[in-house]
Amino acid sequence: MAQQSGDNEQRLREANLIKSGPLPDEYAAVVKDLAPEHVDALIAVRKRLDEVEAGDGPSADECMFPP
Amino acid sequence: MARAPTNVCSRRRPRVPMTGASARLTRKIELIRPAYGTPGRLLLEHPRATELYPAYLAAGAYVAISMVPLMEPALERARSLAPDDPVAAGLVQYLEEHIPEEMHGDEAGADLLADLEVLGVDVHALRTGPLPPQAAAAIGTQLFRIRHAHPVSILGFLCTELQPPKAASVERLIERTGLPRDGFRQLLLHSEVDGVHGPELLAVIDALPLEPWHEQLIASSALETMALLTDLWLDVVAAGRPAAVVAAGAA
Repeated sequence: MAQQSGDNEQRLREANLIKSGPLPDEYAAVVKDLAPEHVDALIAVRKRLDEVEAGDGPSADECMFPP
Repeated sequence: MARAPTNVCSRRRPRVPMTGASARLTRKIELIRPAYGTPGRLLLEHPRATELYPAYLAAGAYVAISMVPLMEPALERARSLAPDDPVAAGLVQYLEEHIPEEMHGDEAGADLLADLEVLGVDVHALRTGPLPPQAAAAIGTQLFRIRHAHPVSILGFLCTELQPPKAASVERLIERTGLPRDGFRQLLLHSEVDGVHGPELLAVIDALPLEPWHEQLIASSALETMALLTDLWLDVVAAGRPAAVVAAGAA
């Protein structure tokens, strides 16, 4: 499990989903608990955003129009 | 146009206590929330938002009108497991109460289809034509997990209710597109009711005697559903973006 936990953070950093230094404790615990398929899903959607050059907005939370 | 990728851990969001199953799930969803909101932002900013909004709403409709038809087999499976499975037993009560709330019409999803008709979408074609692969993957995966893993998986699928549209944002979209207000009725309704449904969903997740594998299953359903919806919506907004960008996305 420790190996997987380290892999999760490493994979998310390589995908630029984590760019900062050490993670806050609450996020470190979340990342540690992610299953490999969860990391896969996060990386896939990050790559897709990069492909369409979506960039970042100031408040994506304000723009959700879910089903 | 290209900007730095999102650092999911740098976003300022309300702190959620790291206790309980719902808190653990919420933290995981926070990792994908910025991406999930991006297609909507691109839609709002898009010079052809009026043209793209009907397609955007139609894309999400595949998942929306499938919620009740997926909760029904989840309820059936939960009932069959309930005598020996306390998680399934708790799920029965939640689904029996929630399914009527999610009908939104005499037929499941009928009100959303009515909104789409107002916008000129051919709902017959939507219902009988080929599904976008992302919608088919989200719906089909859920049905498989309900039948072969555990019906509690449906709670992850329902996690879109944790990200309700904001009424002010919907109003901005109405103004931006100039489209009939009746094409936004379900978005406006969900900006109100999901504020209730979301906390109810988190409450049931905390109330069920979930084991770690149940939590992972729910998280998988939530993250995959949100990732697939994001990808599907990006197809809509990217198709309306300048050709060079679409080509880059297709590469």
